[in-house]
Amino acid sequence: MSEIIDLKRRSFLKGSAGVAAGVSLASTSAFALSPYEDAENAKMKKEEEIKNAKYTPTFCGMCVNMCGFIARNVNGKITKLDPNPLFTKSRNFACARGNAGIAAAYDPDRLKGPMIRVGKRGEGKFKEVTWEEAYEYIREKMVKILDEEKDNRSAIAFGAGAGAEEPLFATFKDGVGSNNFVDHFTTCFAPAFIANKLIYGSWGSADFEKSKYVLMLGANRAEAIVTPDTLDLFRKTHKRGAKVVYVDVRYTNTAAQADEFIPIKPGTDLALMLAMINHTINSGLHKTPYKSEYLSKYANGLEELEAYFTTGEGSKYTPEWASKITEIPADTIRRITEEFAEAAEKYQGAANCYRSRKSTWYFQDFEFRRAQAIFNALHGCVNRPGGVLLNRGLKAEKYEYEDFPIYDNAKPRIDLALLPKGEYPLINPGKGSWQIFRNTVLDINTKWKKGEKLPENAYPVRGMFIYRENPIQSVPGREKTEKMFDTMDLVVVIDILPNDTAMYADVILPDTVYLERTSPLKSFGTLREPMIGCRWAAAKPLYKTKPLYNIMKELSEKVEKDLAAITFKYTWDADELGVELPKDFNLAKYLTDDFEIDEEKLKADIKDEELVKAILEWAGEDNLDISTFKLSAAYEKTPEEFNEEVMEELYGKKAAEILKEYGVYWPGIEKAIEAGLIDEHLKVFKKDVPNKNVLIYELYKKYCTLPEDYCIVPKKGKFIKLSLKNIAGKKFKNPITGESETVTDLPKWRNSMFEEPKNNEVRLVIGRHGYFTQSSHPNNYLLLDLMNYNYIWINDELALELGVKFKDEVELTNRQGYKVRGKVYPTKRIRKDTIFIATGLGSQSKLFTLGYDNGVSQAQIAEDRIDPFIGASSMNETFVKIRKV
Amino acid sequence: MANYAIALEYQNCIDCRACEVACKDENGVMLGADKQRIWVGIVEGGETLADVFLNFYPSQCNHCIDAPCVTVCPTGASHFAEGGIVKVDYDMCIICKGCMEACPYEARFVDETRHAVDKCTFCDGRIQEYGTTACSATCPTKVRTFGDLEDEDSDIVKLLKEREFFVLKENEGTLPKLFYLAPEDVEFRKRTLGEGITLHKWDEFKPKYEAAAQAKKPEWKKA
Repeated sequence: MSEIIDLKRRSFLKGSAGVAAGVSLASTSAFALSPYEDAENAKMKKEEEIKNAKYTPTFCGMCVNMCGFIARNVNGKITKLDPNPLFTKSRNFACARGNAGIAAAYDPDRLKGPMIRVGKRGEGKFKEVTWEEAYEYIREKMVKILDEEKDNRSAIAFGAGAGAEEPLFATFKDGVGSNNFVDHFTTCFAPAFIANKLIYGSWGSADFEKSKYVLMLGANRAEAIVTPDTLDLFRKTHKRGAKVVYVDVRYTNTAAQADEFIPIKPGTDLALMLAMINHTINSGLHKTPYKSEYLSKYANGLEELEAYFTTGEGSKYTPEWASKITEIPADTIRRITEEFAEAAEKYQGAANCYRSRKSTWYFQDFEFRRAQAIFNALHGCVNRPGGVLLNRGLKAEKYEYEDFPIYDNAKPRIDLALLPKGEYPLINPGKGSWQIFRNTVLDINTKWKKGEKLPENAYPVRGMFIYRENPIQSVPGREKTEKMFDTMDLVVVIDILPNDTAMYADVILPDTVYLERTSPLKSFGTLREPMIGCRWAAAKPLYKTKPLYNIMKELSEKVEKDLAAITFKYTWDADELGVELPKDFNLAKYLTDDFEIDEEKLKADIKDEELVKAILEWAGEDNLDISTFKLSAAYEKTPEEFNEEVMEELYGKKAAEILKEYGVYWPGIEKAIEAGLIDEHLKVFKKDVPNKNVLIYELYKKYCTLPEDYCIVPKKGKFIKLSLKNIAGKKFKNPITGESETVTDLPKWRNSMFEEPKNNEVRLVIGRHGYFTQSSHPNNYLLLDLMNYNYIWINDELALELGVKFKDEVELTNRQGYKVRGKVYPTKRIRKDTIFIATGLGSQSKLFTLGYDNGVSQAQIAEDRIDPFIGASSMNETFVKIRKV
Repeated sequence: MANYAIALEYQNCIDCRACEVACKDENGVMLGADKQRIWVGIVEGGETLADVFLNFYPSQCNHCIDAPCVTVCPTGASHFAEGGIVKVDYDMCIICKGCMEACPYEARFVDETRHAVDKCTFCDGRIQEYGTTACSATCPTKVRTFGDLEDEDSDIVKLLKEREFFVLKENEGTLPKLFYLAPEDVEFRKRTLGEGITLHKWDEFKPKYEAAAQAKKPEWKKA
């Protein structure tokens, strides 16, 4: 019996989806005048509703894919989302989460107004305040922090989840001038992204539409949906154009529809990949005509690679060697290598060793992803149709602002500042590492609070703004994240829900749900169909919520003068200016709304003419140029105005109109519209249009005026670096032995970085399923109706040994001593040495009436393990003991 | 007059349950019920991780031409609507649950918010405007093709002419209208078809369905 079937058998929620969304069905009399009047009324009412509704194009805000939908608004409420066929990236589909977007808007526990904390952090006690009160609270704290930290802007950090609004939030961060920004990068796809980027310069995407052979290593695309990858892949399996081989530690829905499933021992994907490269090189599978030409044209470092795998360290990575580590038979390794190699040669690179998005699994992830990138390149599958496309998007501007001042007192980001020079992890300077950031801040802030001396370059990070991110529920080491927030003076959470992180906020600012706002347009460089998408507000914001744009603009207006005054004060150089600035001088008092200095007022207050002169000089254009400190200038244009202007400027008036009307633009779309395929009112395919399921794929090809190979970025010369000399020789610390290690130019298996469960332990792996985007919508009634508990997957034989049955409770204790309790789902679909939990459940926010405490919180049980190469999470380096409760 | 049906490319199904949520949105289906108007049937087989398999059978009401749920209903609440859609008039339903017993597909359940038995309606009221059900429209991998069996040019008839198919519990004799398209991959076909499933071709199947539908049409109501 499947775990999922059981999940249907509960009734924790009563009420209909429609009613919950505020739409009641035709109310009928118990004594109808004629038979079937009730049925007739319901049908007529539905038809009328559909005819009279207002339809607005939007794109989804439930995950990072941003698929195109048409929102149906009936009397002010969104009642249905249907896929937008012109938004070709998403192949005219909406997943369970996409459809459940309605429940995000009408969530009973949605944040309704600004709140200020009154209880202890984490306790969940808040009072409702006005927006003005909330802004004023934030202003006071920001001023206090930045004044005490002498204008070190990095004392206030920023964290954001991915989404179309991220530029609006990042603009505020740039305006404040902090170097501390952390997003989901290092809990998500950092290893795969950085490895690919270093080897061939960009990330790209999988061209499944043309792939002939696909090797998926743990990327569960049936449940972790990526558009258009998922949509394209599962229409080609079962001998319909591509062979899909799927390797994983458990049997997932992807395994169910793959052509072949190969179980693997967790933590050993690197060994498999190295053996596949070894077999390729030692059998000369890359010396075929197509590949030889490809490699000589595009790849650097082939000689080194060949030497490494024939006579060097890599020569020992044989299929037999890998077989012992991975538990995959050597013959299978050889066979899939040969199959891949053959398809790649025959179809000129139309094979794909698929790169996962979330790739934060093990300590050796970076090496694994490097090997994978090399493997794809070695078989000529990079920047080729059917392989990895290094696609490009359509030109579009980003909502950003370039005229902010540079703050000289802002210190370097804290997670990088304390690393010894030349030593890894190689942290992305724009996004940092959540765990290293968190651990450093917790450590420094604790010392600082005790009055201890801080290490050189260290400083307390005393405030943090979090937008649409839920680090307490997503970053491994939950308790440390909670403690970190507890050491801060100001935590501001901007979200739609009182989630676990919001429980630690001092101020909560309620954002609108994506259906209620217009976002800055976005260029999707997707595969063969680059397009510009736009989200237009489909309903009015509910309660006292405001779109992020308004929040950022109003907050900027509120704080900008005081923040400018702080910089003014701490950059004042008495020696250079010849006069001391009085201690109580506050420039904010003399700034007009246009950020000019009110000279009259200044002169009235300050009699010392020399000082007045110096103030005007220091604030003047040649020095600080105080007018650039007007943060709200960045928000001059509303997203609506921005979208219109950008489109008109780049693509003309007609294009701007199409984007407004249909939520998407690509060159030639006007012809698709003129062809009469789209219903002008409903904005979906007209009802009598034949062959819609095929048309999805043909529409763009038929009408787009871009050249067909636009998606293949022209590359000059050898853009692929098989051997990475630029990182070779760097030092890092082995996270298990603590010893210093050296990065090599080619990927290396380190036994000392691979651990196995011991003393009755099992390895815990964490992953996705189709119903929740990590911890983003813990209280969504439509999704909880699909799944309201993340049962711990445990091998059925192990369950028997432990004496636990389905739904029995167990306690898991990890090596760092953290414990959780959860109910088990015994199954033969997982290895005996491994257990699995799904992300997104087990929230501890007491303000949730539906999603509270419904399973295991991944952040609580995943150990705080960090990839030593790039600072990403190594979530699956978690070993637990299981005890029956 | 149309005779609506759905063909299912079930080998595309990834059990993502987008159809279930789209259905709930469009039709206001009760949450928290044991059953839904639409579901994915799951069959698990194999003994070890190396040979385990899951088969997915996306399903819903079959809108049988000779629907036993309609025959058995004592008040006439269960009825055939235009297009051969099997529906329940909620006002007329007394929740005797006879239909739930009679249905071979377990497609019916009690909706406590409606105080009546509920089931899939092929999105009656929506299809008139969109031409497709909510479940077909939303599907990521386009499992479902909704259409009119009497329209030779419809996508569904074209598909049925092209491909072999089977129906569930054919021997019940209810003439169900969910047509499962047989995969061409022999191994996958073997794994998912199981014992005793007969494959059909439309030309051979059509006369029987057409005649039965014609005979039933006088019973079809407006809604």
